[in-house]
Parts: sequence; C-alpha cells; structure tokens
Amino acid sequence: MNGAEYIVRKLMSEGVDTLFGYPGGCIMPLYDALLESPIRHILCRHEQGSAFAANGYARSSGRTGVCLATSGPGATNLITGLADAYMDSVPMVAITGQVPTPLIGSDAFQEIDVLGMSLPVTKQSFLVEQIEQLPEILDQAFHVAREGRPGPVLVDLPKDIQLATLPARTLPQPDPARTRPQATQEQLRQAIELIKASCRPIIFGGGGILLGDAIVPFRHFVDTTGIPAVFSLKGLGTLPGDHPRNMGMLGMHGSVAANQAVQEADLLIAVGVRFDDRVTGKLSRFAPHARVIHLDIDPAEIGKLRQASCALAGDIRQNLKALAIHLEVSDWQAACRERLARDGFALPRQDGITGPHLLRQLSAMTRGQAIISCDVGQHQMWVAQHYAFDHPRKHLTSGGLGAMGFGLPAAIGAQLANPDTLVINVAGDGSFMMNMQELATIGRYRLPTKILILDNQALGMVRQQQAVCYQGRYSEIDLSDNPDFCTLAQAFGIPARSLTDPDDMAYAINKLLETPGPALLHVAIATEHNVWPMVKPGEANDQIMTGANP
Amino acid sequence: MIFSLHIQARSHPAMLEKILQTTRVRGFAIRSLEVKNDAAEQLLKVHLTVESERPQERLVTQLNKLGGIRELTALHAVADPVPLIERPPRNVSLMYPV
Ligand SMILES: Cc1ncc(C[n+]2csc(CCOP(=O)(O)OP(=O)(O)O)c2C)c(N)n1
Ligand SMILES: [Mg+2]
Repeated sequence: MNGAEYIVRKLMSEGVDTLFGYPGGCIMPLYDALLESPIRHILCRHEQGSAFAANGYARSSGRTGVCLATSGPGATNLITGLADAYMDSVPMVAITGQVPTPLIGSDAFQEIDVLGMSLPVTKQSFLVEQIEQLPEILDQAFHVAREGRPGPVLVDLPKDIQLATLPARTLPQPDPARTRPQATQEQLRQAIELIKASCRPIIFGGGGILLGDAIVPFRHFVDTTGIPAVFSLKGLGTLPGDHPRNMGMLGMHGSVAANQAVQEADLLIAVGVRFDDRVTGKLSRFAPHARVIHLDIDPAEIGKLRQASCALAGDIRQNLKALAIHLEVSDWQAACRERLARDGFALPRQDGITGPHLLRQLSAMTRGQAIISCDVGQHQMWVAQHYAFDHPRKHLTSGGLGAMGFGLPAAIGAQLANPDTLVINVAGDGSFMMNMQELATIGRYRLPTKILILDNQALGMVRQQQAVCYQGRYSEIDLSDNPDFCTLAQAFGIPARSLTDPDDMAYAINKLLETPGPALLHVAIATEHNVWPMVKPGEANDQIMTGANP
Repeated sequence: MIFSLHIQARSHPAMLEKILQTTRVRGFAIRSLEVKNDAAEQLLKVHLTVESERPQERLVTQLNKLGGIRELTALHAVADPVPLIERPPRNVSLMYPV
C-alpha cells in the first residue's frame, strides 16, 4: 500500500463520505487512488469553492469537512476558506499536494510554503516528511480538527510520500491527551450566587453553544431560570424565534431592544462567545453595569477582551446544567418583553420590495426550517434580523472573517451533507460574483439548491458605511452594470426568474421553492435601502442609530 | 511588562514559527530567544523573553493551546534596564513562577 492509498483508507475509516477538491500535479497520486474508492469527490471550480464547500458541509452537519488541492496555486486558493473556518471554529482537514521532498526549498514548479502560509489560519498544520509519519499525522489531523474548540487543520503531502510504500507495521504514536480545564465546585457556587443576587440578568449566547453540543442544556437553562437571552450572529437559532425569552441579535445591527437590555443588565451570562467587536461596539462601554459570568471551552477566550467576575472554562454542557436554578425575575422579563415588542426588528415602511420584507416572507414560507447560506453584506444582516431560525446549524454565515463569496459554495457543501433538506443561498449581487463559477458545480451534480440574489446594484454594506461615516462620498461601490443573472444561471442549465413586482413576492418565492432541482430567483431592490439599526464602528452600543433620522 | 517563558514543544516542522507567530500577533515583542532542539527526545526547548503592555495571561493561554506544546512555565522577569518600550520603570526585580 502506498501513501495515497493509505490516505483513502484513513478517510474511509474516519467516515468521510464526501471530498471537495481540484486536482493538479503534486496531488495526482491521491487522485489516482481515489478512483478505486467509494468516497464521492466533488469537483468545485475553484479551490476557494472547495474550501467553502467543505466548510458548509461541516457547519451544517457537525462532521469534519475535507478538501483537497494541489501544491502552489491550488494550496494558496484554499487559504481564505481555512481562515473562515479558523475564525468560526469549523472542523476541517485540508490536504495539499507538495513538491517531492528532495525538491522542497529549490523553488520548484508550483512549490509554495503552504505550511508556513497556513500557520495563522489553522489550529495546526503538518508537513509529512517521511512515509512512516503518515498514519500518526493523519490521526492527529482529524483529532485536532474536532477536539475542544474545533478548527481547520492542514496536511501538506509531498508527492513522493504519496507514492512511497508504507512499512508493514507503522503504529501511530498519538500525542498525549491534553487535560481540559474544568470549572471547580467553588466557581460554580460563586456563579450561582451571582445569578441569585442579580435583578436584571441577561444571557448572551454564541456559536460555542452549538459547537459544544449544548443546545438542549442551554434551552433547559433558559427555561428553568427564566433569564432573557440575546445572541451573537452565530448564536441565532439557539432558541426558537418565538421563544418568550428570545431577545434576538445584539451588536452593530442588533435590535435596539437587545442592545438596551444588555446596557442595563446587572449580570451578563456569556455562553460560548468571544466578545467580538461587532457585538460589543466600544468595549469599555459595553454592558457597563454588568458583572460577567463567562462559560467557554477555550480558556484563552475568558478575560481576553472583557474581564469575567466568574470564569467557567470547560464543558459548557455540564456547567449550564449546574447553573440551572429557579429564579424570580418576572418584572425584568416583562420589561424585556415590552421592550422587544416596541424596539425589536421592524419592517421598513419603504415602497417596493425590500430585503426585510422578502426575508420575513421566506422565513414564514419555510417555517424557519431551511438551511440558509449567506454571503456577506446588507443581505446577510437582513437574514440575521428577519429569518427566524429554529436551529443554529441551519444558519451558515461567515461570521468572524466576513468573507464575501462564502454563500454559494457553502450551500453546495450543506446540500451534499443534507440531501433532503431545503438549502437556500441568500446572496448579494457583489458576493455572488466572487464564486459564481460554482454554478457549474450545482449544475453538474444537479443539486436542488435554491439561490436568492438580492440585487441592489451595489456593494451595499460598504455604501451604507460611506453614507453614514463618510458623508455620502461613495467610492467604488457601484455595480449598476451587473450582468443579467438569470441568463447567467441559464447558461449553467439552472432555471431562473426575476422578481420586480412586490405583489408577486409570495408567488415568486413559492416558484423558487417548488422548482425541482436547482433554481435561481433574482430580486431587484433599491440601492438606497440601508440596514437599521446600526452602531457605527467604534461607537458604544447605546449610541445606536435607528435610521429614523439617518 | 517583561517576562520569560520556558516552553517544551514537540519538534514538528514549523513548531517554532507557530510559537513566534502567536507571540507577535498577540502583541508581545521578543526581547530574547534561545532554542535547543533535543533530537533524542524530539523536543524543542525554547526560552523566550517578551515585553508587552498586555497581560502575560493573554500570551500564556494562547500558547498553551497550540498543538504540540508539552510544557509551559511562565516567569516574571525583569532585570533588563533598557526596555524596548519607553515607560516608567516598575519595581519587579525577581523571577517567580506564576
Ligand atoms: C472578500 C471580501 N472582500 C471585501 C469585503 C468588504 N465588504 C463587506 S460587505 C461588502 C459589500 C457586499 O456587497 P453585496 O454582496 O452586493 O451585498 P450587499 O451589502 O449589497 O447586500 C464588501 C465589499 C468582504 N467582506 N469580503
Ligand atoms: Mg449588493
């Protein structure tokens, strides 16, 4: 058995059923070995597409996403997808071909030091220097991607190693198991005291709840304590949209209600969050009256940006169970509910089709149960505000990296991981064109993925910031010469239509959803519409602008 | 603050780079660096002295979670009279484990 054949075996033993990749010189032995394997290989049309597809596969299934690329340009094209997985803690393994070991360091054709390049965007990167190391490195790669706080791992694989014969008995020597931090009884007791003593407690939930497999204990904690909860972008769906304690998203484009509740709170129970600046606004003025209990699997997140009065590192599930006590906070609950009714996300009063109207309608027609894969921009924020997700796994969004071009390939990965689920890519006109070559992938595999383009003929989110922060000096945001997206889709064999009349909105969405196989709906919306509310970058969350007087 | 770290890490390719990259990106300037590669034990032994306005904990927790780190001991230092970053002197003159 050679190295390449061993890799295929290992992938199968890890339960990998789908790979996303693109072949080339230095990864050819592995592609050759794949011919004999039952693993499905999806040929994306750009390595960034492969990386985002593996990423979407992982996010939507909880399994490790695997992508392949050749050395040099293939490997460099993966980097953005790895960076996205790194920032959002998505388990992935990327395997890159490399020039043969004797040529490493000789500036050989397509030799790039991807090991070095990948270090800042992976949990760990490996170079296989000898065939004997291969089993151990692959074991570690899959283990590291999944364990603790998940993340991407890169394995760089020289061509000669793929071709070398594996010695008969090569036993992996795993790294010794790391001890995980665990909150002490004393810390848990302190946390309970803080909870009991608070009058205006708020839960602030993030992506770590899903990653820690803690949705059920989280919901139990909310129901038992009765504490209202706000969420980061990645926490959306952790409570169902209509849950009485769900205050929705906070932060830069969060609701006034959620942001004010946090600003008034005397206790913030932060669960699986990292206090991202999009959430906190000006950090020194975030939740100024609150003491903080911080639960996270990663001790490096606790106290990184906001000091915690009580640090509960370790397994969120166990710690939430220990904190689920009955509380009497009915006045505060009522105040939060009232505030949400008054200052929650409202539909704009503009004429014509707007992003918020469209997404509310989509949410209602799919009962919040579709997998929505977003791109980055205004449309992404409208999804977050108006689509009532029933589970965070259904919301695929490039949160930490904010990478335009994520949506379409991630939807492909999600569709392959969830063949019977409705998967919709909600794209902006700008973002769509960053990876639109993946229409060919959808066409080739006849994936039933739906695409909804919110076409405001602009890089809307940049335009909005130029309107609000740069006195309307618009610089390079015009996309009024967009191609005809319907003709474009049709060129890939994907049926497409345009929506222009607001009265046809439900009909057009229904048509999109009912069309068997892939389909695209292009929706023209006004360039001038902005996302409200908004906290300007660097300002405090209580300086939130509602858009009433922009 | 200036402090030192003793690190033992598996001598993977790029292990040292990852330690240095983490140190830089988390906002710690390197004052001195000594590295030995113990081939028999396959261990890198790193002695690193860094300076930053940021709390030591911020670097220690980040380094601690890197794959391949076997042992990490942090020591307050500060016998260096010429700080890289100009600021009022502090009265720390001992090395002690934290
Ligand atoms: C790869 C990448 N380049 C640039 C940006 C900066 N950026 C953020 S939002 C945005 C505009 C997105 O335009 P579009 O996809 O049309 O969405 P809209 O805001 O119009 O809804 C840009 C350029 C980014 N996030 N990602
Ligand atoms: Mg746009």
